[in-house]
Amino acid sequence: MSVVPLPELPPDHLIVLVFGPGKGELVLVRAPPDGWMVVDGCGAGKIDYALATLQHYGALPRIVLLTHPHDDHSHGMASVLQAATPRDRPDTWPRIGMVLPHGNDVTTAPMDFIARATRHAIAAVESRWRASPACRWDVRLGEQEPLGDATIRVLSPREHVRAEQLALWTRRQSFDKNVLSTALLVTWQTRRLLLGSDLVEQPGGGWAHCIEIEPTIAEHDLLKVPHHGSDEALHDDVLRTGSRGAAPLRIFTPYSPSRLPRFSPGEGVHRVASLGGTSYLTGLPRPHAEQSGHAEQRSLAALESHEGISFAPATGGYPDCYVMFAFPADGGPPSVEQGPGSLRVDAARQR
Amino acid sequence: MAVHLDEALDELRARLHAGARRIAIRAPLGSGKTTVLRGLAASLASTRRVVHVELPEGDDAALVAIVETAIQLGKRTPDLLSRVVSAHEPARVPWASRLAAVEEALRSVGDDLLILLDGPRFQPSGGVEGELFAQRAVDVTRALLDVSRGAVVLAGAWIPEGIADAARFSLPLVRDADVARVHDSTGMLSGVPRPYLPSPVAHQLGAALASAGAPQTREARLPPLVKELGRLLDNSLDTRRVLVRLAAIRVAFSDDLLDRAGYSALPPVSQRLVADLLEDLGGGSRRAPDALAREIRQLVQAGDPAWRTDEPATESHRFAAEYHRGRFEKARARGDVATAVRDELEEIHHLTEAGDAEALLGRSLQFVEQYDALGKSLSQRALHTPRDKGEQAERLRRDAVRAYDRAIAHEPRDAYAHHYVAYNLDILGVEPERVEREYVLARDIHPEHPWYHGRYICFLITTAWMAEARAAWNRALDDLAGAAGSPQQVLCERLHAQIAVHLLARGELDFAADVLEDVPHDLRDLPWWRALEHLRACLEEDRDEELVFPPALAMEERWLGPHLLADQDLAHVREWHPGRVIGRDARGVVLRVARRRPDLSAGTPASRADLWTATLDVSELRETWNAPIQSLAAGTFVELIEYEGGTKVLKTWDRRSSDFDAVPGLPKLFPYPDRYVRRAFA
Repeated sequence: MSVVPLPELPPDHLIVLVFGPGKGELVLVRAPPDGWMVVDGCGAGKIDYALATLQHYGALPRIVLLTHPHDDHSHGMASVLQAATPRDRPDTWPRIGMVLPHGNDVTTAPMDFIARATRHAIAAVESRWRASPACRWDVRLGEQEPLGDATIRVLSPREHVRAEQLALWTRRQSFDKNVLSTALLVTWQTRRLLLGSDLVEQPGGGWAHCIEIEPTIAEHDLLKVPHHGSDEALHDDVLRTGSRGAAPLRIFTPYSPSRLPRFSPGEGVHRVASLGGTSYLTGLPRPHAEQSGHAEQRSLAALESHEGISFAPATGGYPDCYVMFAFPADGGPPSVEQGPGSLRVDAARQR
Repeated sequence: MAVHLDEALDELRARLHAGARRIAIRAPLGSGKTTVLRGLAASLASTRRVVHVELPEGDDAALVAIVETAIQLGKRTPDLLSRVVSAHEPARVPWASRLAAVEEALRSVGDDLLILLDGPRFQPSGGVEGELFAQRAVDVTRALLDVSRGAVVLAGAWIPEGIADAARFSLPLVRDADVARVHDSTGMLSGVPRPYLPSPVAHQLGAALASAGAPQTREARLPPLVKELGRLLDNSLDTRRVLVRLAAIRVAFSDDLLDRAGYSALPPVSQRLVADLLEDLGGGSRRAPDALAREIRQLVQAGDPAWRTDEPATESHRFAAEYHRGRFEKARARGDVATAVRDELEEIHHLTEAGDAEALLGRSLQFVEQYDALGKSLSQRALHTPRDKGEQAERLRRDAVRAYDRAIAHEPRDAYAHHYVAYNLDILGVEPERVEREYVLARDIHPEHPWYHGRYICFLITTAWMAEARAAWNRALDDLAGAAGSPQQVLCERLHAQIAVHLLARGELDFAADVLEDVPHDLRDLPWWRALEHLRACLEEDRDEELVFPPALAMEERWLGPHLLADQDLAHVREWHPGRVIGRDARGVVLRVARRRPDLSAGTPASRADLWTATLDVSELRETWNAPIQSLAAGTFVELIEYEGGTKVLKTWDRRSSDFDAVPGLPKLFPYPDRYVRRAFA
């Protein structure tokens, strides 16, 4: 099968590339002129998607962030850090963000491949923080970081939540990693991108608090749907389309171990789509080898029984399971490019 | 053939007189080797120049041997001792210079030289941390054996063939020459097995036990008898304590020590028992037989209930240290340098065994090796400290670092000390910059040492500097390619196995594959290699969403299922598939399932079989497969079994079998790789 190349990046556009090959997610943001941010990581087989993509575009990240210490967000992050942190040039290193390491739940979670890769990613963060404290970003609530001509603002987690979870971590008890998730608001000119990571509303009221500190949160151009669209993560006041003219874009990443997102009425993709905007998925919640070899468009009704869909050809591997959004500077409509395996959800169309 | 002491001495003297250059007495511990050498030394002292060296148990064996040699040779080479032990600047004489001084002195002596070497060492074993000390004992042995003039008689449990002509008698020693003759003649009768002769020490102990009223026993081996002795003293902890203290002493002692040990306060029956166990060396000098003392020390150190006393196990060493301190001060006061040096060695040995960092680091030691040995002793104590006493272990490791620092201050090229500064700090997960610096120094000084490469690389993996780890690995391969020393198997265990287990702990599968691939084919049947390769393969399949067999299941058994049925049910199975839960929610589960292709062998990875995804909803699970969804968390390994009658059952593997770290034979992962992260956030 021929390799589908990654799309060209229109210059002077704000670019968001979201990958999700079935389990795990990666968000890459390029703010003009050349500010790259890596948020989390994913992979399939031997390929670390973030590193491969950065190398493809010849990009050096300005920010690398692990939004929370969950296994499905860490794949390949160690490779990105290795490439971005030459030991003899710490002045060139990106800002590296992390809230807390993984917990001491080795006894409850199997030490499978991705659990090991997560520990590796966190060790990489810790060793870089120690080697060059200037690269350390604790991602405190309300902090702002420049990224090219854009600004990144931290919307979560709250300080007391962080302190509570850290206390559990210190006592070697399991802690809720999702309530610790770092949601970000990226603003560039008139554009607003809301990267929801895995922040949940239940428990902890994470999104209600985001609304408190950012009342116009629903006024966004793009939402990386939090926590793979789980019921616990969705908050209607975040999802309701605001007063902006264009319908917002929504991007889901699947998480097959929990069979997320769901498509039944009132749940997951259906719930988000019913509140407006255009929804995309980087893939379906299934093994990577069974993702489509083409960019797909499917109706909500068809996706409700997506387990019955088989794709021929299946994906040929990276670069796949991505959607790229490019926002022009003039406020004009964004362009969207789907990679193989991704799906556009046609909310109106029937099966 | 058993032998009487006089016969053994006659034979040795005759051969030496006839010009024999090297004679080896090979026999197990406690057989009387030391007694023979002592007898030979006494009987030839007036006619030959005898240097009698006993390498004691302990990390200072080489040090003791070289000092003893210098003292004894120094009678005719007065400045030799000062070349081994600097009178002015403590700890400034490098090991190589000391060895060279002794070798030079040995070359200058005449043909009347007779070296008696008790407990020579030929192999640098002694565990990883003991390797330096073992190697130095080998160095001393070689130096004494290489003497070009005179003769050498060696006595040891293991002496390689070809080193020396064997003695023409066999131990054990017997006290009565008639017993030896009867024993020998019995052995000549066809079909009659030669009766077992207890070692002289066991014989002595057996007799002492009988005199003390212990129950009659047919036991003739020393270890059970020593345990029996301990049990006999259950109601006499004072006696046990006296014996433990005397067993700690490695040299001959006088009666005043007996009093200090508490002997005089014992009841007469106990005094008799203790006296029966000691060797009388004449001239008011006594000693616990070496084999007996070692056995008691081992049991005390192991915390054996038969040898517990009312004081901590380390107290016997403090007692011994105090005794030698007194002797050292008296010797120094009268200007007897040799005795002072020797007693100070013993004092420091016992303080080291007691782990008394405060006492040792508060003074200036003569020898770099003593700091190294202290560092080792403290590190070992830290290693054996219970997990819930982390602060104590940390204190010990920091003291060990102080000891090694002191060694480095005196000998900047002490690779051993550099390495163990790094390793102790590395285990604690602190000062990674220094850890790296010290690891690199040690490696650069001794690039042929596999541990110095291996632990540095593991550190780089732990701290996720992978390009640097790869470069260090390539450097290790270059450095070790032509290095003499460790056999290939040992090298691979120390380098490849350790690095691979750290790489796999971090999911670095390609690098791990390269490391495992570097192991020669003839070593790939070793359990650690098979285990690591199996784990690597399982992790790779897991990464690729193709793993349907639990990691604990051997590759070659994978398709020999079903594995989860009782034997009587196997005959009725029509079809079975291995599988794994890859998704679960309230609606049901999603399974990754495999089917064996008929052309594949039993050990074929699942990825080469046919794989597909199946969705089972809650009702189907319950009604068709008889499986509750609660037991089917994502990641659970299962077997889908269909019987001839059409009945289906879904069986789940237990948690233990599904654990990736449960692969049998995996090398231990140490230190725990999360230590730096935990330290940073704690």
